[in-house]
Amino acid sequence: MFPILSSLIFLPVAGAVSILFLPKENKRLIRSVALMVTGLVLALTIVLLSQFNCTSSQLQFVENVAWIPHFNIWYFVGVDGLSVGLVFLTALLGFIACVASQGIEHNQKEYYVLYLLLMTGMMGTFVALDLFLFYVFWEIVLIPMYFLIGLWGGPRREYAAIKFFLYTLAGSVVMLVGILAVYFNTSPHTFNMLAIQKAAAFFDVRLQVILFLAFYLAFAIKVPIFPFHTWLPDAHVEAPMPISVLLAGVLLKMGGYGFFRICFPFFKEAAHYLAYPLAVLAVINIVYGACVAMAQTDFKKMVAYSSVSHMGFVMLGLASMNITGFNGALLEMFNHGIITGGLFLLVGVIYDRAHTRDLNQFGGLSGQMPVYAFFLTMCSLASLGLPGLSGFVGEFLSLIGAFPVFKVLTAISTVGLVVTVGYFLYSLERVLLGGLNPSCAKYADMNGREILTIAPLMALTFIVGVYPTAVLKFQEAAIHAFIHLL
Amino acid sequence: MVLMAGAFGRYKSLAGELSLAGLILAAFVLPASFNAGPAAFSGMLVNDGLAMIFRPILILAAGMIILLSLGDKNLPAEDGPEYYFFLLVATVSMLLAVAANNLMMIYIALESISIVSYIMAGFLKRDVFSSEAGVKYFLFGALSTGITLYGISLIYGLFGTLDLNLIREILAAGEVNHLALSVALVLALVGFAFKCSLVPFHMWTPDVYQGAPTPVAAFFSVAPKAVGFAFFLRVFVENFQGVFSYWTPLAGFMALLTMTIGNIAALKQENVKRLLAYSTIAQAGYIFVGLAVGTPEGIKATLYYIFIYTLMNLGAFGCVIAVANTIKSDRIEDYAGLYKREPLLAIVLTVSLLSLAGIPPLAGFLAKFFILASAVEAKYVLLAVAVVLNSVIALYYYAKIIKVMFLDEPKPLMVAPTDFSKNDGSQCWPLACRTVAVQLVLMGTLIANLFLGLWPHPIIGWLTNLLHLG
Repeated sequence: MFPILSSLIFLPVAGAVSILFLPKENKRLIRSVALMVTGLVLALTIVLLSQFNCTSSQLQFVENVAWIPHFNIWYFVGVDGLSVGLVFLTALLGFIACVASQGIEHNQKEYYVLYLLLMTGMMGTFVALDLFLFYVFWEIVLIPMYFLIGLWGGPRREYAAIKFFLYTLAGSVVMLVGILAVYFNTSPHTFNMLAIQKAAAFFDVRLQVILFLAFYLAFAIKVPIFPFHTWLPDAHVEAPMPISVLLAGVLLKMGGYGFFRICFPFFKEAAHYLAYPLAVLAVINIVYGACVAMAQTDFKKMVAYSSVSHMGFVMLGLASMNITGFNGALLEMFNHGIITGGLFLLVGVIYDRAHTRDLNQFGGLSGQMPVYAFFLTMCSLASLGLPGLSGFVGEFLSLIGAFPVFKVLTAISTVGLVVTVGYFLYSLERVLLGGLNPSCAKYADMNGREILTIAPLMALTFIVGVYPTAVLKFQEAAIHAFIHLL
Repeated sequence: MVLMAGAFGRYKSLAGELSLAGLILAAFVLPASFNAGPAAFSGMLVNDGLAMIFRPILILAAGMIILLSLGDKNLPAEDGPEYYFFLLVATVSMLLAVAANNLMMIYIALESISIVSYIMAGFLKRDVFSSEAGVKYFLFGALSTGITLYGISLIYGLFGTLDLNLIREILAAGEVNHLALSVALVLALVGFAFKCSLVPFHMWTPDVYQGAPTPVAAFFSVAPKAVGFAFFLRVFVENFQGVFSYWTPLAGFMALLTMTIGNIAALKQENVKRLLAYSTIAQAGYIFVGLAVGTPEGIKATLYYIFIYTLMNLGAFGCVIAVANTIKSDRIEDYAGLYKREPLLAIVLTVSLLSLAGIPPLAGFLAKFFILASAVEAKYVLLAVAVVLNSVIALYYYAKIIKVMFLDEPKPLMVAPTDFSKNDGSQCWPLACRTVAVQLVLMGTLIANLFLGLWPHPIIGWLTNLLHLG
């Protein structure tokens, strides 16, 4: 069988290596190689989706080859309903952000090499089924990200880059010790996630809780969960626009995915034991993120904090530990990737023209840039959870799942929803409505390329909002199996 | 082994190229030495797995150092023959040292390595820092080897022999005062710890590394350290682990202190060589974790780490030499914009540093992973946590150099790039070849760092085979 997952992982590497050998001056060629590779990855992912068997909860497209037999480490990859949506999200945003990288003006060669390596890391994280391999991909993401923020970012890029790097590394090295502890507590020793799922059920609760927390730290920093979120606004604000899109759209999902793939199925008893604290932190995320977003004047920072708030719904759905909650959490991850990716694209569009992101510097743009106004309104409405658009479905399912389990907490979290509506409408008002700010009089409307990048995301938002089954059908079988595990 | 010593002796008065040839010859003779008898000089030297593992590492390190020395334009050319002579004498002593199976022999080897090292550290006669380095190294070294000698004499008093095989037999028969033995061992440990620059015997390291010529510092950072660890393996882990019940707590504590102090001190450094000196202290701490654990897995992890450490550290020092060749500076701020000036060099240094930091998929990650695995397996989880937290601290200062190279704007150079065509008259190698010598090392380490991180089998297989030999 054609090794489709390996192609998804290693095509970008091949692209990066070939770009290394291209002359620096030939910017068009470099860019087209990168576009071709990401486009090919997207096409392959669509093939993958079309061949994916939605009724099966089994792993599909599995490849399993010994890598370091001395430590029983395997190159073991595969997808199931939990990961296939995120693989698609990675490929889609990877392509779109590559198209949107037009604005990168200096050092294109290095940019696209790092960009493609980043793709490899993200893709690998979602398909790895060997804990060691998972860790390697997880870490591979850090280095390109450090350079992408540090070299092409905004004024405080160095601070943001190193903060991101150290924060995430701190979490992941603790996870590494956790991984080793899991390995040595299974017999025969293994990194195979499926084998560990069976074996870890027999760990005693104390060990489970410790290990759960070790992994939790890594994932919580990535998601990010309050109080580990402080790297996120800095990284988002300073990162160049396409990288912000990937950061919000894909990297945060790596944390959420870790809970689905590792924390919950491995340490079931610990998950039951810790569900309440998890939910409390999730609600803090929702409310706190929303309130802080409300106070922002920087457009990008506002969207960054809205991510904190939205990822809270993912965590709330997870903590409720029932089918509805899990479905909601997984769907919310997908939706958040699409919507927030779109929002960052749109912030980038206005930044390209205004070279500022201060919400108070705009005004009355709806007349000046009607197409932009349309997309920004749709995106904001989707993000604040308007029924009929995708954001609503995920959040709604999460809340329904959570309500029977944590009544008070769910009630509190709806405060966050209200505030979310508040800050999005407030930002729309400041950007689009009112009299035209004279400094904005010369802004051109969105060009074809910009529309091309945002339109597919908007289309998906509509489709999922009206017909959520389009996404849910991929994950349902896996979620059912998941619940049985618990 | 005698043959190998001969191979060096013959070329001693000639310049670097010939020493390199001698080393290559020695490397070719190496496989033959595997088949040589198990012991020589009535059991003074043994030819066991440990010796066979360390010999190639040392020869490789010495070969790379010679290449780096050839390429270092800040070394005085007129003293070349003496320099390479000392380098080779040190190498021969080390090759003997790793095979020594008698405490007397171990002491002699230790002392001969030290004496040559003192001279090499002070090799830049006209440089105050270099002379200071030599004297400092000498004073600290003499004291610590003296203490080791005292410990060894106590061991002789307890056993009536210094032959480790006989000692092992006596130990097996029992009837040794454990407390006295522990005291003797702790004293003997001092000299070894000094060579490995373990805390609290590390004070000399930054000053010596900064003052000594860079290739010499690079040499100190790998070869004598490897030998020190070989001593630890042979004496403490192989022979006394069973009776020296304080070994694991003591070594674990030392490892913890070493990596933490090394890393924290490195944070504030502004000189690359000084920073790397502290980083090597921290790295020694990681290596020592494997020894503290002392299990077969721990030993294998230690050996693996030493091998990889040699490659990545020499890669980093090689870059420092290459940079100093053009800008004559070791200050980190002068690395600003290196990427714009010499992109390849910046990339090699970045890979070496990230590998030292233990970032996958580079070789340093797997090495650290094996160390961690051995610690977790033996249930020293706290030690493992200490290692990973230290890795985070370490990343900060490694990333600091990377940041300066890539993100900072290049400043106008204080010293204009030197015109080397003038200074090179006394050298028989043309300029291009000398640059090639450094580049050879850099490319070698780059490829090894990338390749061994993904495909560690050759090294693991090699170590496993030799360790099974005994």
